[in-house]
Amino acid sequence: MEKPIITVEQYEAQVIYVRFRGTYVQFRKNSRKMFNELLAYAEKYALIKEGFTKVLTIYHDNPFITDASKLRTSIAMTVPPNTVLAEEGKISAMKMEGKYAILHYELSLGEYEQAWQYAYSEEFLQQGGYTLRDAVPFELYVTEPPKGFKGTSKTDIYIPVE
Amino acid sequence: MDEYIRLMNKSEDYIEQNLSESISLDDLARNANMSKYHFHRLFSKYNEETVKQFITRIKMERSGMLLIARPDLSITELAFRYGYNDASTYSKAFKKHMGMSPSAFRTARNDKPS
Repeated sequence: MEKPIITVEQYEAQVIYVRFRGTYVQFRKNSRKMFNELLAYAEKYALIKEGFTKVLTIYHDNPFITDASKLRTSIAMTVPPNTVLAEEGKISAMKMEGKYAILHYELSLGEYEQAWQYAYSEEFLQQGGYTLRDAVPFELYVTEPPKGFKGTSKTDIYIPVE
Repeated sequence: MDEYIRLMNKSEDYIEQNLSESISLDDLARNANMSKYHFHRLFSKYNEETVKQFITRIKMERSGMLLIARPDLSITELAFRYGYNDASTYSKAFKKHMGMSPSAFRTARNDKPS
């Protein structure tokens, strides 16, 4: 896996999300269903804008600290600015905002864990001079995630920094 | 049921946005437009822990993350950041939840095999 290109940006987005509570293995088993729920809502309210809409996975807890059964993970989708949302069913809205160090990757399915490990490594944080901020990190799919283990896709990992 | 899950998620979001404050059940119930009793019952059922347990756990886990990644922050600074009036009360809560003091946690997690 190649080292990512890194940028630091002030990011602000309104997102809709569906949240899961449980291990990452259980989350992966449910993620397609969760995405479909989000997609159905976005289509119902015409929220999908070509070239704008992005899908995110938000990691609310740290797997090295939180008990695996209590990990919270959300599948989210960006919505156009100033959209008035009618939250319904399991679909909620929240804002992602603040300064982030963004690691721009080209990843295959088997490389995500390694990419996250680097994002929270001493090599990246301390040597890069980044100061971690208490907010949730997330991964944003720039291109559609690969369907099999051979393909790759562009994925950005957002690490909140001060 | 789905609506309740959404309301509980929103309450979690509210808690996480106000970790430096003293968050009351009154605030959360008002935010969710429910009675305190109804809110507490639903929250405990959905989260399998009480509101107080959830708030404390999140404060301890989030401060634990900063203990590891932010050596520049003192225990007192972390106590204030997570709504405690002094380092002693915070340290006591941290030890109860994590099984070791904040300083021991910081040292243990940052120790690297030579």
